[in-house]
Amino acid sequence: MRWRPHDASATKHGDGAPPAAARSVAVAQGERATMSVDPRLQAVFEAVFGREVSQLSEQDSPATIESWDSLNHVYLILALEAEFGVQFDAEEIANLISVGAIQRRLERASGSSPARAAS
Amino acid sequence: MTVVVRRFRTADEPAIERLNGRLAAAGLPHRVGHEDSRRGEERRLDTEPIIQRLYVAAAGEEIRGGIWLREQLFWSEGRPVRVGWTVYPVAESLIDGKAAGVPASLLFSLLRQEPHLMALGMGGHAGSFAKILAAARWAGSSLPFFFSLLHPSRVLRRLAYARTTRLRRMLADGLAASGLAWTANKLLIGASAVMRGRPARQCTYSVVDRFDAWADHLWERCRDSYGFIAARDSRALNSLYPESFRCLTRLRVQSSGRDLGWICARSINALGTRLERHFGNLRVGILTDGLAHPVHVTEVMEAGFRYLVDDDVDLIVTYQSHPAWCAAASDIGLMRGPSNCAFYRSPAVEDLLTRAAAKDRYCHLTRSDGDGPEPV
Repeated sequence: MRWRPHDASATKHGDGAPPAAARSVAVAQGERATMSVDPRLQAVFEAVFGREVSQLSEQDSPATIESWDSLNHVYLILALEAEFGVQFDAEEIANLISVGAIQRRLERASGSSPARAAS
Repeated sequence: MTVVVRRFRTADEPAIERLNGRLAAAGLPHRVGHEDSRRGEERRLDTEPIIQRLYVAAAGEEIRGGIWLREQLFWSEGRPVRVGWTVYPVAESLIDGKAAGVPASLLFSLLRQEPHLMALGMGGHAGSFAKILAAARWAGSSLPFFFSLLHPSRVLRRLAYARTTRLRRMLADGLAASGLAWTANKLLIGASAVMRGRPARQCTYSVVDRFDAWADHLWERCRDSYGFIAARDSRALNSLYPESFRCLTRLRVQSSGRDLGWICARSINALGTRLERHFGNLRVGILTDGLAHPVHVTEVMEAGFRYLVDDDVDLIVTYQSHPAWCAAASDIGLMRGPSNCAFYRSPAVEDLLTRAAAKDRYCHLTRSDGDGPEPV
């Protein structure tokens, strides 16, 4: 009632599952960061926001991904925790609001790259 | 700027006002409040039955959101359990995507403070906060809603739900003018009475200004027959329904001089209140809260119903979770309707409910739980 309005049909209520892949996502056009995004991180974003985020860059954030709202942020955090075997502190959840910030946090968890975080 | 979730400080008030200003400028009615700065000492559940604390998401000099934690004691499996309600969350994510993580951060911070966390109402499951709770894998259900039309013609002419489309308006006006609504309602009540058989035994009720020792004795007799119930001793009740809260009637229900229970009833003229949107200028009766041993619930609820009928309300509504209270609502002639009151609970609360249900003990919640009785 008090968060950003959200398309109810995109959410499976109550089962905690990520929303369906086909979502309206507006990825910013123009300069993309040169540093590549980890494929597993890319896959998590695609699972939450849809296949349209196929060209993620470190700069991507709620400003460039239209459906990255407060609800999908919860799905994203839970999906990241499941995929990478990490547990985010309650406070840092508010600060993981760009692909770069998430990637750096996962790198810290693993010692180097997100791919090693789950091990 | 890094966001930090922490307790409210008096110094936050200007930043909260700036946030409220940004929300208002975007045309949103939501506001973050502030704690009473005149109270210096920390509130504690061993000295107060219900305490509320405001948590804010601070980013440097600015506040990006706030949420209230309302804590109280519940009773479950023979012991008191400290629980918290999440109340009135507001975040800047409503108007700024950069704050998209604030609601989740506020929620998970509260969960760290209080693992037994719940939320009630929220405009139903379609409400944005309810969706966030569902996404966070909280268990969700609806608080069953019951109603009875005492003056069906008046209700059909004034109830917003019956008049949302031209067809509905025509149908409602036709039913009201022809007397069919009255006849159908009487037939429905009659059929319901035949099906339920023996009418509830009529008990006496008296209006009381406050809850005293009799309420404590009742609480001690009843609490273990429920699986999960807010502390309803006199201290908690007089805090929730203080004597100064005059728009609520406390009914002490007795049979042959023995206390069977109590029930709180309200009669509200919806016109000019926040209920007007739904009820127009109807006089709405609400069975707000109550306590009785499950075997006496029907008599207690019938007493509350009788009081509201005598008070000439147009319709009576109540929200009840416990099977005995739901059955009692049906027994006294209320019909079940669609509920817009969502109930979400954290895994720790769900675990308590599941364990209690395995022993045939169930959760007793009313619309007075959560953020308290209707602020009308």
